[in-house]
Amino acid sequence: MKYFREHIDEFSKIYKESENYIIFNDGKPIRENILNEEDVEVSLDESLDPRDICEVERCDAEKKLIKNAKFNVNVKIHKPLQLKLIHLNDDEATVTFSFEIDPKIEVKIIDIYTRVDIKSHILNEILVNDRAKLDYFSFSRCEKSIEHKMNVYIDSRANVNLYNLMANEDEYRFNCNVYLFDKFSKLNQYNTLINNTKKDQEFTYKVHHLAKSSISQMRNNAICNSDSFIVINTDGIIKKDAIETDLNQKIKGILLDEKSNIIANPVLHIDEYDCKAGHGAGVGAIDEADLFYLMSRGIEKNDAVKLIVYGYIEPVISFVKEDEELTNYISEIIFKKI
Amino acid sequence: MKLVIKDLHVNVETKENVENNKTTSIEILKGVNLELNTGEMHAIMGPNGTGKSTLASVIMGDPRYIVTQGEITLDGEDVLTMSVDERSRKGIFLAMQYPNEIQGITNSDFIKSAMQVRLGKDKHISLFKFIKEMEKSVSELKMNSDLPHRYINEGFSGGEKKRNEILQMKMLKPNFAILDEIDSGLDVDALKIVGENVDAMKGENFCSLIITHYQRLLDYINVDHVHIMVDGRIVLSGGKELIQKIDQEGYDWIKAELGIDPKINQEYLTRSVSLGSCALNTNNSEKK
Ligand SMILES: Nc1ncnc2c1ncn2[C@@H]1O[C@H](COP(=O)(O)OP(=O)(O)OP(=O)(O)O)[C@@H](O)[C@H]1O
Ligand SMILES: [Mg+2]
Repeated sequence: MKYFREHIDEFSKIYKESENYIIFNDGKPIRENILNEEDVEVSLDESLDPRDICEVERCDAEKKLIKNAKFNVNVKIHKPLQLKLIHLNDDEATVTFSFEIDPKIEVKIIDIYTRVDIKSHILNEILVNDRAKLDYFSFSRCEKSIEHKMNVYIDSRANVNLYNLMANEDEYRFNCNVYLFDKFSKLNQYNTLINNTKKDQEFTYKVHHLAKSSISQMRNNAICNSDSFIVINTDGIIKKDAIETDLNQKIKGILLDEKSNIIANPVLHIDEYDCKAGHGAGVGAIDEADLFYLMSRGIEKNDAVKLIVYGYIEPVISFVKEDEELTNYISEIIFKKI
Repeated sequence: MKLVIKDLHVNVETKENVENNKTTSIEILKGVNLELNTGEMHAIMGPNGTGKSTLASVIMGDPRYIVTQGEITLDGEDVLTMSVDERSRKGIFLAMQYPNEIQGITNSDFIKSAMQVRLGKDKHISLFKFIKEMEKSVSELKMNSDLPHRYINEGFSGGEKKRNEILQMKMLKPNFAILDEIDSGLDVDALKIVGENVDAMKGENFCSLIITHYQRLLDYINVDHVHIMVDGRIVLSGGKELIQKIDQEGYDWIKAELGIDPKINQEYLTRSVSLGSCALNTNNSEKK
C-alpha cells in the first residue's frame, strides 16, 4: 500500500472512479472498485484450474510457480463489463492470477503492468467459457527482469482478441500459450514488442489448436532500437483430429539502428491433414519503398520514418483509444523508446 | 508551370547473382526529352519494359535509380537536387503502378498529414473542411466509404488501390500528376469513373502524364499529346491519332518505320521528333 501511495500521482492518470478496476500490489488486490458488486468475484484461493477442463498437462515450471506463490488470486466475471487491472510489484517476486469469464458474455479487460520494480515471476491465466467474447489488452512496462507466463483457454464458440504491447525496461521473457480446446473457438492476437534497453528480450507465442474448426490469427510486430536484441518464437500447433482448423501467424520486425537484432523463429507443428496453416516472418530496416511512398506525398523523411514506426504500434494501442488519458500515458512511455 | 526533361539517362543497379554481392549497373533511360506545361494533357505509351515506370519514378525521385546524365527542371529550378518530399510539395505527384501497403496508418490520417505539410507550420487544416472534401472525393470515385479509415492500401483490391491513388491526387491537387497504369486492374465501370475524375482535373494549373497500354482509358481522358517510348527513349510524339493506331497495330510498325533497333544512337534521337510527324502523315495517307 505504501508503494502505491508513493506513486499515486502516476497511477491516478490511468484509472477513474467511474470504471471497474482492481489494483494489485505484489499480486494482492489492494484496491477494488467494482461498480456492481455481484458482477465480479475476487477470491484468494486455488479453486480454478482451467487445465482440468481442457486436459492439458501443466509444465513443471508452472507447478513450481503456483507452489511458490503466497496466494493465487481468482477473479470470476459474471456479467458483461469492462475491467481494468493495474499491477505494481515492489516486494513479492512470485505472483499468479487467474480469470474466468462466464459463458455468453462480452468482457473487455485492460491489464497494465507498470512499476513492476522487482525481479518477478508472473503467471496469468484466463479461461474464456463457451460463447463468451473477450477483448484483452495488456501493456507492460516492467523496470526489472521478468519471467512472465500467460495461458489463455478458449472454450467452444468463444471469441478472444488479445492485444499485447510490450515496452519493458530490462531483460524480459514472455511465454504465452493459447489453447483453443473446443470447437469453433477463435483467437485473434496482435502483439507489438519494443526493445531499446540493450538487454535481451524473448517472446514465445504458442497457439494450440486442440479442437475442430478452431481459428487463429496472430500478428507480431517488433521494433528494436539502441543496440538491443529480440527473439520472437511463434508456434502454431494443430493436434490430430482438429480438422477444419485455420491458423495464420506472421512476424514483422524493424531495426532502427545497425547494431540491433531481431531473430524470428516461426514454427508449425501439424498433425492433421484437413487444416489450413500459414506463417511467415520478415525482419529488416525500414523499407525504402514504404518511405518513398510516404515522401512522394510531401511528408519529410523523419516524419515518414515516425509514421511507419507508429504504424507498428497503432493497431494495438488503438484498442484503448477511447481512454484518452491511458493512451497518452502509454504513448508517452513508448515515444521515449523509439 | 513548366516541367522539362532534357537528355535524361538513368541507370539501375542490380545484383549480379545471389552468391556474390557484386552489382552491375544497367542503363534503362537512354536520353529522354520531354516538355510538360500545365494546361496540357500528355500520354506515354510503349511496349513492356521500355522504361515508362522508370521515367515516372525518376521524376518523383525514387532512390533506386541513378541519373547519370541530363536534367529535369521545374520552372527552371533543378528538380534532381530536390528531395522526394520537396518535389511533392512543389506540385509533382506520382500515382504508382504498384502502390505500397503500409500498416497502421489510416488513409485519412495520411492524406491529412500530406495536406498539412503543404500549409506550413503556422496554419492548420480545418478538420471540418477536410472531412467534407474527403467525403466528396470518395463519393465521386464511388469508393467504399470505409476505405479512408483503413490502413494505407492494406488488403485493398487491385482496383481499390488504383482508386486510392486517384483519391490522393484529388485531395492534394498537384500541378503535375504522373499516372502510371492507373487503368490496370480496373473493371469497366471503375475505368470510366477514374478516367472521368482525371479528366475533371484538367485546368490551367494542372498537367497530367498518363502512362497506359490501352486506348480504353483515353476514351475518357482527353489528351492532346501522345508520346511513344521504346527502349529508353521517346521515339515518336504526336496527337491522339497515335493512340488508336497503337491499339490496333501494336508497336511493330514504329520499329519498322523508324528503323529502331536496340543499338539506337544519339543522332537518331535528335531526328525522332520530325520523324514523328512524318510517320503520322504516312499513317493518315494509309487510311485514305
Ligand atoms: N529496380 C530495378 N532493378 C532492376 N531492373 C529494373 C528496375 N527497375 C526497372 N528495371 C528494368 O528496367 C526496364 C524498364 O522497366 P520499367 O518498369 O520502367 O518498364 P515499363 O515501360 O514501365 O514497363 P511496363 O509497361 O511493363 O510497366 C525493365 O527491363 C526492368 O526490368
Ligand atoms: Mg511500368
